[in-house]
Amino acid sequence: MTTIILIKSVDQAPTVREVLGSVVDPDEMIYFLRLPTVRCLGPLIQETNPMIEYGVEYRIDCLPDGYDVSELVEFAVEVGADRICIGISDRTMSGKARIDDLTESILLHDRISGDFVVGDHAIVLEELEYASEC
Amino acid sequence: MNQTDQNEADGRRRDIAYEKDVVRKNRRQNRGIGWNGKTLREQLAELEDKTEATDRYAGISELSLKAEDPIRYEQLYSRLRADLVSARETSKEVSATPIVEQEGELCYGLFTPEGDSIAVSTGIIVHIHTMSEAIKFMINHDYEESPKIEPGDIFVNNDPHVGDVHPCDLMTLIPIFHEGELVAWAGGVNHVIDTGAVAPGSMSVSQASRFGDGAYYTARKIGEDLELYNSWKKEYPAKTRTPSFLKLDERTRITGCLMIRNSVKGMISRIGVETFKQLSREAIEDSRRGFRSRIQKTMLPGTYRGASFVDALYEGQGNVTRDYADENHIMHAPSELHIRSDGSFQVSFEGANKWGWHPYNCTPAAIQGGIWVMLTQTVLPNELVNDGAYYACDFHLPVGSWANTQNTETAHAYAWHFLVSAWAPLWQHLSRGYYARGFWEEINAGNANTSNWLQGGGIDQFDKLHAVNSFEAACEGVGARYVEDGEPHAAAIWNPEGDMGDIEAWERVEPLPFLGRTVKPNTGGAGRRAGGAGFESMRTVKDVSRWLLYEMGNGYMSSDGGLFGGYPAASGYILNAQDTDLEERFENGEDYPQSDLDPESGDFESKIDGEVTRRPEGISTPKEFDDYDMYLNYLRGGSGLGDPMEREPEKVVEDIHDGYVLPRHAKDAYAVVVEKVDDEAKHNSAVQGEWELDEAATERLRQERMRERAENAQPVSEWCEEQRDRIRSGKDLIDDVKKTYESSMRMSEPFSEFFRDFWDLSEDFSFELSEQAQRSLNNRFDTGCRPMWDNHTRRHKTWLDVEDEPYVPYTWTSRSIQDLPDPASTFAGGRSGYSDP
Repeated sequence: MTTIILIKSVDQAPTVREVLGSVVDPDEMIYFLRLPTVRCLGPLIQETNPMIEYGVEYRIDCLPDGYDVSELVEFAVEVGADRICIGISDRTMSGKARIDDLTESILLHDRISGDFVVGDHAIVLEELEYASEC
Repeated sequence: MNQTDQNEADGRRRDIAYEKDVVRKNRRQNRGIGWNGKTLREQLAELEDKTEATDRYAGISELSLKAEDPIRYEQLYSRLRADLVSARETSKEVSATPIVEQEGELCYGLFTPEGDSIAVSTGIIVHIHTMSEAIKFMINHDYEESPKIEPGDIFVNNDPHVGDVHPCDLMTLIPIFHEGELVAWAGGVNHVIDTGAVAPGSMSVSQASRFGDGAYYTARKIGEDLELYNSWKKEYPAKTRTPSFLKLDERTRITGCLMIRNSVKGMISRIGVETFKQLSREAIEDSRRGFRSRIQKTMLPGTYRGASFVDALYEGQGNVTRDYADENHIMHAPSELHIRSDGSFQVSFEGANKWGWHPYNCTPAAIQGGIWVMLTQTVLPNELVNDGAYYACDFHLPVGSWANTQNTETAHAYAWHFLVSAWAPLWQHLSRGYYARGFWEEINAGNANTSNWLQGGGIDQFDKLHAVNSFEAACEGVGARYVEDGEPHAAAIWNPEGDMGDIEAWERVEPLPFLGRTVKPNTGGAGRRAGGAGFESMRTVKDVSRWLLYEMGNGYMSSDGGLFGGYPAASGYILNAQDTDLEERFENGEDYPQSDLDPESGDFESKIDGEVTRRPEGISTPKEFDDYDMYLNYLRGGSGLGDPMEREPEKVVEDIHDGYVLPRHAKDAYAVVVEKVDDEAKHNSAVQGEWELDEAATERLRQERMRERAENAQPVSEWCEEQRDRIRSGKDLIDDVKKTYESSMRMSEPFSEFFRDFWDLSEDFSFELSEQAQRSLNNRFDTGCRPMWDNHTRRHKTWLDVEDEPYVPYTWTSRSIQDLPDPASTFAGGRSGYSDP
């Protein structure tokens, strides 16, 4: 299994912990995909220690400034991602996870489909399937 | 500059301009300078995570480069190391100080982007790990973002709290890029003459805090495009008494770093960057495995325990910068080495006493680098010396102790004084293991306390402000080995290739003419195998004004204890003569002192009139010296091994003729009786005449000594009872001793429990201290921490207190043996050694 965790902020340690602790299994391959809103995942890796604490293999990659969601999807196709996990950065007054533009764009992207699961700190798109490019 | 050099410089500039352009484009794409677009901090975090999770460097499971083509692997690594050695040998000729040019107090390292050393040159290789810490400091404090790490940048550091032993070791670090990625760092470090401290010299002794240590440059960017900033060029020369020397030292380091950069770029062009990256990773993992394998082959699992002490006496000294620093200190280093069943190697200083208002405090980088250089001379006999050994070891260094002050107020100018003394038991730990496993040729009783340090300065013979720092201390006696005597006046533990330097070279830069230089008898520890003798230089002073000199070293105490019944090396003392009649003696062609071979003979005093100071201490604060005053520079010997009574009497006679032992000392220490048979024969400067062994008298004397020993011996239980009474009553214990143990007890609850339990003391036992000692301890304990690092590396946790429980379990309690699977525990791989990486 392969999982992409989209990192929008270095404060997303709870998201990472939730995904690594309860979504993925040890020995899975994880891609930490850093968005342009965050320059460095060093502190987050130092805080969570994915291999020590969760036994997962991982890589760190980044998306450039001005990227398009299709680039993210291409990345997912390239690495054969089974899941994409996105941190919940905001909630409504009633406590529901707020779907931000990025999340919405991924959910609505015509090349990608999967099951939509909402956790405490992460939204998970799993059982991913990819449509071939038109 | 000739055309060839000009072309090379132009090519380098073009290369840097190109690399810089790629790096900046990458940054605009949110890519870092690490591998595959990672930032350096990400890369370091990932490396540490994977290393700790797998117990393999960077998680490497296979040494595929080595496995596929071992000869090529060795060739590539040897090429890197040869280029580092070549960089050192070439660049040291740029320097003008005998410290670098004569003593070789210079070394270079090649580091991974994360700051782990891949290969090192010869020289003061202690700094391979200190530079490593400095690089990691820059990474973990986001230097990639500000001030940015770019091709052509030049960084400097001399801050021990970042990564150094003491501030007189200035390091230069240059990043090496390839196609926008940082592929390595080149680093060079050398010991400078003067740091601009409160006293002239590189290692001032009279300051109470960092603020008297001299100029600190805390991991700073000082240039770009391989050009130094004007601000730097104007700043640092004004912060030292010896600007010309420091400028040349800096050019030395930059020269070497550029040679290493050329070497790396050349190798990458030949083998490709991916192979270079693989080589750099594999070499470290290879070294880590090699270290553990070596431990498994040569040691036995378990806990090895010892302790060492050394004095630093300031009470009543003049020129101490603060009244509250007018007190004596004894360094206490309880030392434990834990060898685990998997070959892991843990060093713990739990119970070390509090830091003090003196410049002998240490930081983790100093301790780790220091012990590491010692290990390279004991455990790692090959050239695969890099940070792999560091990854194979853990260090527990209690926060707030002299070994890890975590307080940027503390002074560190001569951290080596405590550091060298503290690792004395480590030699013994290793030697006991070697003995048990039959590696007798590896056994060593320990290194010399590397002193005296002749330092000072003022207006020199050229009417210039100057400072001196004699590095004759790079040439001390070596500890006795199990199979042979220690080498006399051979090296220093911090520089295995040390040398005393040519007299003429020192005299060129020091207004301190040599009156003599000779082997110093009775300085190597007595034993079945004798410790290597030290030597001494008698210096005078000429053509100076407002000139200061001072001493630095162990005095009353020997920091190394000898091994297997061998005696410690001789302790230190101070000998000066001021307001002398030396000039008249020169003019009249009269005899004058050229040595102080036998301090109790009165020989020195008989040959000079003046104010003679002879003190059994090792440290003095700066004193004014005028022309024709005299100063003895006495360099220590190594400790002995085995009972001196077991030394072959004929060898003792040879010792006398070689100047290592005085005839009266032969009788006192070895129970060897000799007789002078000829006044004329002269073997050396120490002893005039020919001596012969009196075999019958020696036999009788040795039997008598053995009888005396038996008569004077007492059961250990009785001895313990006597000592317990001393501790309980506090009588016959000087305040300095009580303060030392009280400090250790306050520092460590486990040590305190151990101490009280061992001596059968009450649960609330503490030493009664004088009001001054109590105030001093309270003052220091109340000071708290002022750490330099905001973001520690993962490996720092071995000395950081984690949730009140040190990560490395100390064993001043009974836990140590219980940490092994069973009392008969051995290495999993058996005698064949390491079986599973």
